[in-house]
Amino acid sequence: MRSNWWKYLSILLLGITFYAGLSVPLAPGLISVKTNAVRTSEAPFKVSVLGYNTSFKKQSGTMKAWITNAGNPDVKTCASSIQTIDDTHAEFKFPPTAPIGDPLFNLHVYNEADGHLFMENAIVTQDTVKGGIVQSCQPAVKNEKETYFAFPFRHILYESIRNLFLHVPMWFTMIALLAFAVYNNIRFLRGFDLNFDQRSHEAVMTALAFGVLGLLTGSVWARATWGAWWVDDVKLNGTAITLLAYLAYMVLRNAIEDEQKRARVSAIYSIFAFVMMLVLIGILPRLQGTDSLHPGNGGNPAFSSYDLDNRLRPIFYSAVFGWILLGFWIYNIRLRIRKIREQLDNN
Amino acid sequence: MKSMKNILILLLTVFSFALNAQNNSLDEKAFQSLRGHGSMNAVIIVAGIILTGIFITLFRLERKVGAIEKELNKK
Repeated sequence: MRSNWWKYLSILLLGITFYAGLSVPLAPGLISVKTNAVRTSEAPFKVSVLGYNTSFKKQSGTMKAWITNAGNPDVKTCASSIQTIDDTHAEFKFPPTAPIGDPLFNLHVYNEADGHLFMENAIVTQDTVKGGIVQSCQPAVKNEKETYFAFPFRHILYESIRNLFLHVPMWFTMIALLAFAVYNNIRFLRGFDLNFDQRSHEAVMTALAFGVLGLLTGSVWARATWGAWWVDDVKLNGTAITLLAYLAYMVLRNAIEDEQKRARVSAIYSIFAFVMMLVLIGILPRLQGTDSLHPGNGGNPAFSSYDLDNRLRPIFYSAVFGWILLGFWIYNIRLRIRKIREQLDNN
Repeated sequence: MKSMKNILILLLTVFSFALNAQNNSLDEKAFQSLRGHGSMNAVIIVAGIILTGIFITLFRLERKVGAIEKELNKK
């Protein structure tokens, strides 16, 4: 009588992950803002915006737009006229606005379905910056966020934020399996029971597969967001060295014939490699002063503090848990095959 | 031994992408198409890579089980 409930749980969690991860829409946002005016204080000027997942046309009754000066964000200048061309294109006309404080203006767009959309430094003016007091309009904003459940809209990432549920759990699974391998290594070193060596070996092999998948998927995501398949980066180098270290583990095992000796040497090596992995992937990239493109390191707002808001969190946790369970399922099958083969060879 | 060779080949292939320092117009197309549909293409390809990896694992396990079954039937 086998207890397989956790395998079904992994299927359920991964099903939720794929379904929600791929079907929940991205929150509306502003992709680009264009203006025809060089100086904003001379004459009324037009601003045209391109939105993403916006409902400009559908909500043309509740559309509001205003600009704030980057140096004076409390003072708002409302658009004198709003023209919605379609759901993602709109044109606003603004009265002549002097730059009080900063040559840069932020653009705010609001409607009831999309909530309050904001683009920083959307308009730049060649006027000389002045000081002074200006009247501010008070656009009534009912809801800051969109009215439906959506993933956060982030520039550069856009839809690829969904890779959070695919790429990141690969590494979590690898680390979970490697930790399990270290646990078995320690158990082996205490009693020299070769069963534990078998377990840790299969765990490391499964972890390696997930690590390679993590590298490949990270490379694709990097190409889409940073523009390069690989960058010279602390985190990336750390993961590469970690995988090479565990490849060396495979070479090490192949080099030693005697079972007991092989198990002891690889157990010790695996424990060291695990510690090295924690340092290379977890500690070094987060040090103050390291420059890293990878989210969560070297001064970047981590996915865990900025972007992992309550909209991503439930699906992210299911994803990590689901992928880890799947990783252990694959390990479990590999172990059973290993044991059956051992039994066959002994008979 | 064989699996080690395979993984090594795979890793070397991945790292060979780092050699793309040259200006390659084909690369630009890849970049633009990867960002297509609001970067959704990147998500689909990542999901595809992961599923491919899982299916490759399943096939390899299937082969191992098949070999064991064959041996059992011989006895």
